[in-house]
Amino acid sequence: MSTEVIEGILYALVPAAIIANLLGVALGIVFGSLPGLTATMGIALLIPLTFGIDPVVAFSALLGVYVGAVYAGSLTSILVGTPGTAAAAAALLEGPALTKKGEAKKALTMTTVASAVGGLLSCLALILIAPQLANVALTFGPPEYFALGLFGISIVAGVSGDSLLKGLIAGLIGFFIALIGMDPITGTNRFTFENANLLNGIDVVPALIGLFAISEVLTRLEGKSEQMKARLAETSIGMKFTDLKKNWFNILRSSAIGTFIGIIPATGSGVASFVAYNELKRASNEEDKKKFGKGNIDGIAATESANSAVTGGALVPLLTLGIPGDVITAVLLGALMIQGLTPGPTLFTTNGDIIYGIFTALIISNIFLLILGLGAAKVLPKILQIPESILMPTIVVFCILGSYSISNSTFDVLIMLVFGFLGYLLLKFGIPLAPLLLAMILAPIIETNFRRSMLLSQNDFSIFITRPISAVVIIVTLFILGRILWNEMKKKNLKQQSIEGES
Amino acid sequence: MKKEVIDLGAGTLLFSLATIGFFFTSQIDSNQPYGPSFFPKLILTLLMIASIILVVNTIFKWKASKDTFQLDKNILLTIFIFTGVLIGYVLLFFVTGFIISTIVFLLVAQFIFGVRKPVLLIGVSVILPILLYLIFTKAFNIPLPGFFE
Repeated sequence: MSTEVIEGILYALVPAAIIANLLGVALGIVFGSLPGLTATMGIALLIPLTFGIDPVVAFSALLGVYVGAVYAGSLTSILVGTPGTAAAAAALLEGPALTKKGEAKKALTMTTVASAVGGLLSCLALILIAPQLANVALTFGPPEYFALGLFGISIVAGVSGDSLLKGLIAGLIGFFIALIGMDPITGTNRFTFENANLLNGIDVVPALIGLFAISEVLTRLEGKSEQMKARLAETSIGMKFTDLKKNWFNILRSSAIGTFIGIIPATGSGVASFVAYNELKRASNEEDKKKFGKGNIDGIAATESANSAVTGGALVPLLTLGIPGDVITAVLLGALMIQGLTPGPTLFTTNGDIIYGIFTALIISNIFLLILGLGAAKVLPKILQIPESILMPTIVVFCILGSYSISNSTFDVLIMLVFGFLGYLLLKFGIPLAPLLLAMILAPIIETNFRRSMLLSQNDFSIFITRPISAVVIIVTLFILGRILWNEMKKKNLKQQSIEGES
Repeated sequence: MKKEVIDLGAGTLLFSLATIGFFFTSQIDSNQPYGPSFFPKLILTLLMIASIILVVNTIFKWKASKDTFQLDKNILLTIFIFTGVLIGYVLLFFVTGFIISTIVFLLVAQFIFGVRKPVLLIGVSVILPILLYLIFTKAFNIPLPGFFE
């Protein structure tokens, strides 16, 4: 066993593997930061180049792209309010506000450090407890997934901003949008109006690009450029060591959340970062809670460490059971098979050296991410020095490019545009966009698994409380929802008292 | 105008849309208790209830509220024009492909955003689309519609 570990480490340390890893991370950062270009695309692009290359060298490049792209989606979220990937949407909760405060460099540095730490901790989990973790994830059936989705919905309150009611409305709109298309269980068409393009539903990525980027461009057109001018002078504010010291437990907790959610197939990093943000908010005292949504660096530490920790987590079911949790890991599964490796329990016994090589490559990717990311944190805020009059039209061009590139579909471009106008209108109505996106991501998990559970139990609701994991998650969710309602009522009473006091 | 007008408008619009949506759910075939129409009906009902609460809350707040807002006609006009430009860009993108539509869009959009220097206006509008086209198609191998494809 020990020789396999040493051999694996040595495979990942050969110069070709190191260079492939570095280039992979760099390519991943480019792909992640461009809206619409995804980690999946970057990996798929590289796979043909890995034919005939040593497996560990090939995986050094592929994992580099994966790690780089997941990290970099947040860079444009923070700088120009345009998330590069769906997973980076949570960075919008604090990132743009930090940039407006002139703390773009600080936010990018925290993003880099938190992502690298999150990535490394998830590697550690992958190496040490992969098989055990995979077994826990394997016990998840439809009721557990439904309970988890319901738990995710409780986060809507945490990302709603000032009005819980408007957050709820946003969540319901998002949920409804996700219902458009073919029904996942019976294949019945819903709200498709005989349009074939709508059969597969509305893709989250073009919707996300439109919702956040186009609405932002339209808002900027209203002439709110004073903030932009003000922040140019201050983009040099960097991160202090105390910021990191203050957040060590937050990063640790968020990484654990990210790793665990990564392990559960089909949940994804978008959900993980929202959960981590919400947990941080819940753990904060009343005074700190007021800082959220106004540019709080702690929020960035939570979302980014969770987001990147998903990378290690998602590899657990892939390598140990041969189950890909999402599209990226499905592409990686293909890459493993091209190399003649069959993912699953036997992989550890038959090709232990390669597995340990892959683990080492993932660790190296995260180290390169730290190095390249810290460099990028210094250079990228300079984007903000491009005059808004050029930057905003350029962002629109990237939105068109990104939404088209996802599946070479002009329909996706139209979806992006429609969601852009919808996002702007909702912002004018004071309806927050984050809950809408969160509900769009969670709705398919909730609907499919609720209905599967009903089919399994012959419409008996007790299936949700007779299975231990599902019962615990539902009880926790109900407790949280109860607390949210209680707090909301308390807030309302206090407001009423203060109004009466004034009069 | 009182700020509450916005919430009142939002609530009424959402209620109307949710009601229309609910009407369409009757067209979804379903003979199971938790079939394809279950979630659409549930979500749209909740949306109707939430919109009613929003409207009722707003009516109760109406008298006490002092916040007002004003519509700036110039801003409104700029937004309308830019919306038209965006729609035009997408339509042109479908017809002429990426490069030509983007050149036209960048020229118009930069002008709306206030760029007046001809060198900057033309330089960015021509160089950026060609550069992006080459990077995407040659380096990333991602096909983009070219000229009149």
